[in-house]
Amino acid sequence: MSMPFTTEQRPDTGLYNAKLGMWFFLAAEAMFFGALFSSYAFLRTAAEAWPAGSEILPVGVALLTSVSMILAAVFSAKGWSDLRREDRGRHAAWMWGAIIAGIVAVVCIAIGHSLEAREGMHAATNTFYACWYLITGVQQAHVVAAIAYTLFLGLPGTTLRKTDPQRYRNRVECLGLFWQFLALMWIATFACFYVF
Amino acid sequence: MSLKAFHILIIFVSIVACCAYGMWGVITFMREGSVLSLLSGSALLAGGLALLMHGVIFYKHAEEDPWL
Repeated sequence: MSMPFTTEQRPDTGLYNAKLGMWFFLAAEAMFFGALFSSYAFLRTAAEAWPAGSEILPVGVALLTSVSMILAAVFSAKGWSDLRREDRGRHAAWMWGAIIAGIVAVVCIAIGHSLEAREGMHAATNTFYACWYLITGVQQAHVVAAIAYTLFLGLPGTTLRKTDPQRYRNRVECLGLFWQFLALMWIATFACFYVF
Repeated sequence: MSLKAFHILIIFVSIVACCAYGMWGVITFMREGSVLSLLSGSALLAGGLALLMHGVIFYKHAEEDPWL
């Protein structure tokens, strides 16, 4: 007996199992990031003085991270749409592009942390830096997870592409949803720490 | 929500962010004369335009594929 809706969409929800699971996961992630951002907002409004992030943090590195995150989201979506058109060469190129963009984002976040640490600003310095190190560090860990999953689909996952192409396409779509979510979270992080 | 819809939402948010930060850079240049602000602001505005073009092309391709 095969499990229903592993590849085809369920008529009433319009979702297959993996996409439903991914949306549940993203809902949990949204609550997790929501808790971090609301804690940040609570701490910030309660503080007597709060530094301007654009004046003390490395904005250039953060801008490069933003560009990389948006590019990773764009590349993963392009990879999926090319896979839908059975253009496997372009699909692979876009997915490798997403991996490279993700690696650039991870490196940029690490450079930002190391620049601040070199100036003697650590998570224990004040509440602002504690929030900044925590939220950007969590972002970095998520991007590493997205890179790992993209690599998994690109290397051992290619077997699935041959044996069950529709299931593979669905997995690439779910991965794309995760990359979009991460880009959205980074835009929110950038706005919180570097703009407002 | 499909990847198409979520991607278009991300593109929209990114365009708004690029335009806002780009304008911020240009205004900073006009106020303080910082060339770096002008360069980064212009790059962000150009990035916003590129994202708009990508969004339109992606939407047109997606319209041709009923699954997307």
